[in-house]
Amino acid sequence: MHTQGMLTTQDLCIGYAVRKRPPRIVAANLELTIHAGDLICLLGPNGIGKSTLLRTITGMQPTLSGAVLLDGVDLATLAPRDLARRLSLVLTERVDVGQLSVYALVSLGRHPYTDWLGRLTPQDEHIVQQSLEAVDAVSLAHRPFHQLSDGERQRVLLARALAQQPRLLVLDEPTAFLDLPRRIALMHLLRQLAHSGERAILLSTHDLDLALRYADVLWLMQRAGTVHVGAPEDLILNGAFATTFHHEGVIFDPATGAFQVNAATTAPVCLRGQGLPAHWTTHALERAGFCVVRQPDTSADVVIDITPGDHGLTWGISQAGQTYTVSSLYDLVALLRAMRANAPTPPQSPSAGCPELSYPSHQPPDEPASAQSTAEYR
Amino acid sequence: MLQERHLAEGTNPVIWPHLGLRPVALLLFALLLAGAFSLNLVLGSVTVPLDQVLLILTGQTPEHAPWTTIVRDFRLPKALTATLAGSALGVAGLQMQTLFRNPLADPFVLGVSAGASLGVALVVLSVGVVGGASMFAVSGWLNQMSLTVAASVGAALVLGVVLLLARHVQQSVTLLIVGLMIGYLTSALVSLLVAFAVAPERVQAYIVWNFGSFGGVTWQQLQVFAPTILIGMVIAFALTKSLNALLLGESYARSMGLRVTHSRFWIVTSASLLAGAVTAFCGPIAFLGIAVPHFCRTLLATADHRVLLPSVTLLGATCALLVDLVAQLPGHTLVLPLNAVMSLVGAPVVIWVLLHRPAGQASMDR
Repeated sequence: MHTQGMLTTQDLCIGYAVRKRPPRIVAANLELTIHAGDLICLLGPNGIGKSTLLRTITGMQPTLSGAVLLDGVDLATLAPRDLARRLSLVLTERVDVGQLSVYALVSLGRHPYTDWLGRLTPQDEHIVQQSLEAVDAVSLAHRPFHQLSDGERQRVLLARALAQQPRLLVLDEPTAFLDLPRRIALMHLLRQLAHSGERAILLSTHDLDLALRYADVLWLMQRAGTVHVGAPEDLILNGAFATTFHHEGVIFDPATGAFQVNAATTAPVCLRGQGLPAHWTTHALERAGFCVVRQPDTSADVVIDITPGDHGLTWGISQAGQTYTVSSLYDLVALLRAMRANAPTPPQSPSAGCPELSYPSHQPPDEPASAQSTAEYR
Repeated sequence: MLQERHLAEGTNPVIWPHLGLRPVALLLFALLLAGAFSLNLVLGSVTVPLDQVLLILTGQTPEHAPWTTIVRDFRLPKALTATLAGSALGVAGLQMQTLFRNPLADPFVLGVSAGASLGVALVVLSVGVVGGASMFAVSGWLNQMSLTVAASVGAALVLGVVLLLARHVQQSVTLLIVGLMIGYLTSALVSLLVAFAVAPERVQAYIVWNFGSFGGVTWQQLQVFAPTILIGMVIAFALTKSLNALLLGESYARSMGLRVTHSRFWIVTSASLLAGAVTAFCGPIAFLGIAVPHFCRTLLATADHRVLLPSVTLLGATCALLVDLVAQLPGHTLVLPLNAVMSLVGAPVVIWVLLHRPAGQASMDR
């Protein structure tokens, strides 16, 4: 496969040096590799050190020990200007440039290439234009930056980073302030940019769904200070995903690739029906914290039948010989909740009803908000 | 040919912008400065016609002999001082506003003028306490020169402290807070000195120094003042590119290859040198340093320092000259306090500009 990574870390230890005390180590013994052409998503629970890792890899923060090599050169030995020609950033902090046009802002990305006055050569101007074209922001070139929407701003900041012509482009939570269509568009663009050139893109995100869809490689950072590396599907199949997040009060469902709040203590409901109505009924029930089984089951005390009626779908709910009929999923969920609230069923062994959600829900002692209480609250 | 194809396709060809240096605006500012400078030589307690001024400047004898003294020994050094001080304060203010990314920053945020005030207050107010220094009490000797020396020493001390810090602090905002604290410290010491001052006329002298004036600088002092300002200006203009990178904040600037600590050190050096020199020779001149950069940004609709630095230099000088002209009250012998005129004339103008700029050009801090 790949012979040599573009960026490699050698026995990297990251963290913060504290004066007159032992350093605070965030992660140690990191051996990471970035190959050109890859889109890499860095995932991990909040506060685990994703930003520290990004800052260390980009040379913004010194390593505690070990080295980061970019094309075989230690980042620590590179002059700032040479580093800026190989590596560029899009940060989370709000950029507030006053009266600066988009074109002028993107041309700031030529900073490590221009003379002492910052004059653009025709070649510089060409690269600025190319960068704007690459993010489809040509029509914004004349606009003042402060008038742009969040999605446009993110694209322009990306163009600025591209104008540095980096080997590695690093983005810190680039999708954080965007709506869903804008997030998808941005991830799509990033993948395109990574695949089209001799560059790699590394980004941190909390958007697991998008990361699973778009990343070539995932870096999954764990509380222990280790990083799991692999294609998204590899990490699902080897269970790294589930172990990374299962302490956080949510459960990763490998079948759907989505997260669910731990609902292991509610008795399952049995759903009979087919096609789209069955799919979205399951969705609604799981969202409300119910565990859904498709086969008649002794542990399921409630059976739901979907029937197509004259005026749309109806749902029949039978429990202990009684039957109710509702005409919307909202009413269905409300009714089921009311039934559970009136007659709580004794907790069942979770593995009996819901084999897919069979994670033991033991909580680390430092996290009092337990999964059970989350489920009950919902 | 190309255009035809674009028209045929129904799309407009992309017109890429250029980062031109707006030469027309700069030329206009230069002309304004020349006009204001000439007016300052012509107008005053007596009006000297422009042709006579030119005669004097070229070393010839005018119609009335005293005009030579008036123009050469009073108006010319004063106009030069105003020009230098105005441009210095504008540039220093621009640097501080960019470094701290704060539209309210001015040349004195680092505490340089506070240091100068303390120096002056010590000389003016404490001389009576220290009996041996009673020679200062000889009213004629409590003159501009001793005040200038005291202010320079005060400003230089604060400058040293700030520069020492600038090399070590991680974030620029720390410098801002330190400057603020130095300001509080010195004003506390000054109020102590005022409270225990033995002679009311000394307090009066201190207050008069606080009014600010371009008039006290002699040809001899200009030989120190002008080179100091020029050094500060050269450093400032050499930092144009760094200032532009800092528009995006220090993290982005660092990621673009800027050595932030290094640049910050020189920005602080330049701004303090400019602000310190002006305070030492002219007193604490308020308002110019904060208003002129805003004025230029709004007028030219840009944040690019390659445009802003020269225009702030020219416009700052022009503003200082015009305000001084008003303070002199042409035709009268009365002179108004410079700082009072500065704010009385300037504040309404700035408010008007802020309120009348096109929609969408919201304030710096959006």
